[in-house]
Amino acid sequence: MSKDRDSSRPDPKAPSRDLHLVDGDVDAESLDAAADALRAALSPDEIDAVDSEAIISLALGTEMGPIDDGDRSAAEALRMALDGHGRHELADLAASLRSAHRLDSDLDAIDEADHEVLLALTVGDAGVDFDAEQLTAAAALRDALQGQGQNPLAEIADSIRACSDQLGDIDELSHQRILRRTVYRGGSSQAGRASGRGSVVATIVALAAGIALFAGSWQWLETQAESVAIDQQTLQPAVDLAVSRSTTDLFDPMLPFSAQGGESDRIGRIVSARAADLRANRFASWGVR
Amino acid sequence: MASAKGIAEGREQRRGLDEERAREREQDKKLCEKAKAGDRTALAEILRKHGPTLYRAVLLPRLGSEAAAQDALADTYMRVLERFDQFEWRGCGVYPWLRVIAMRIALDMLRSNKRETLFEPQDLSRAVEGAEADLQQGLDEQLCEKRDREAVRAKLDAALGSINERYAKAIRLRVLQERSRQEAAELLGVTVSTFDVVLHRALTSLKKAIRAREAQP
Repeated sequence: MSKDRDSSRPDPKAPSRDLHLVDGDVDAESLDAAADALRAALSPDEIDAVDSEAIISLALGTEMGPIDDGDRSAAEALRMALDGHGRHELADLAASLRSAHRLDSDLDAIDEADHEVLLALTVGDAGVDFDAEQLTAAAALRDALQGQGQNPLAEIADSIRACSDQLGDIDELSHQRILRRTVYRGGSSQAGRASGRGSVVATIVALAAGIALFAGSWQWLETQAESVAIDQQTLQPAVDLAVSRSTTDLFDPMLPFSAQGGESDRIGRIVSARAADLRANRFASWGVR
Repeated sequence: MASAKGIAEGREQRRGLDEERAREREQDKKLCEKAKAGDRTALAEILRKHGPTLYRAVLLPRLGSEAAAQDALADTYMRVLERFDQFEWRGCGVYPWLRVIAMRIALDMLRSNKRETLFEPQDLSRAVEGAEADLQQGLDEQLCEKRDREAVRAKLDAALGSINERYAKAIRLRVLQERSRQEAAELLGVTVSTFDVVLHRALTSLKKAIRAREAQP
């Protein structure tokens, strides 16, 4: 208490605005008693509690009146909000003060990329400048979507595509991707061992062999699949396959995802459910359910 | 002799700045003509140039959050896109016209917003009127921006000046200077947990003071 009192003493050179009713080395008990007396005299019915405490603080040079559990919990809620956990109206006010205070600094300048997005939304992509970094990132994503290399955004695109209820035959893009992954990879390892003119020949031979092997395997797989399908039709009644359906039954309204940052969890649940359906359907069509 | 040389250099610098400003104004005029004719690339160029100032000097301080200010900037752009055919070129350039639109958007948002902010709708109403008057008077971008900064600084100082000095200090240390709780508590001479309560009371007191000023005629 005495520490609080000492630290709040005004600068003797500055014009005083405070009413220091007590001064010097006053023990904490006397100070508390003085504060209680002032608090009673200020009649809390007529003056707001916060104002009352401010007047006591000015008069006694103390920090404030006694801190109760309500004060502590309210202060804790504000502290959490100021640290970025949860909302608090006073934290909103603090943010407003901060942005007014930092007017002359560049700390709150709008992010250039965010601004370009706003411009793109307003005037369309024609009027938007793309920097080298954006163009590189876009090229990497484009390549990954075409099966060349990996990219986290391409993986998200894949998972979204997997949720789009269009799980049918293999599409041309995926087919090309598989071809690249298998055939080109084999070719590059061959090329690494060969050199000069021989490397070209080796690569062509490897490519041709790979394609022939793949085509042969594909034909064999199709034959097998047809025979399995025929067997299934002759031996069993039509299997009970999971069909595409609404995602509503995947979510429990009583257990909502968090409002912010829950998108990945929601997509993750849909993807895992759809993958399970696909797996079950495949096993069912192969007769091994 | 040296001072005469200094004066001459100063004049030269000012002349250079004036010429640069005149070139920019001429460039703006051409862009505005193209944008009025429906050239969206030209409009994007205008917004790219003036948008960050609108965000920093007009929207963010008055709306108090980055998310709200970005929403307001997007709404401002949409309204500019809708109404650019109504824009008439003035000697002061396009910024004062954009500023009036941004102020109106901010006012609409503040009225519908439940967030606690330093500025109240009444403040924004007055600011819109001021911005319209500035547009009529032909104030250029630099003067408009200066006025906005002064208005924000005055509002902040008035708000902090209306509460207990110690409470204002707590807010300055933790909120404005963004010092750690420990550091702020040390500078106030209290424990960290006591500082948390002081800050809560300080912001509550400030909120009350803002409300009280708002209630004044």
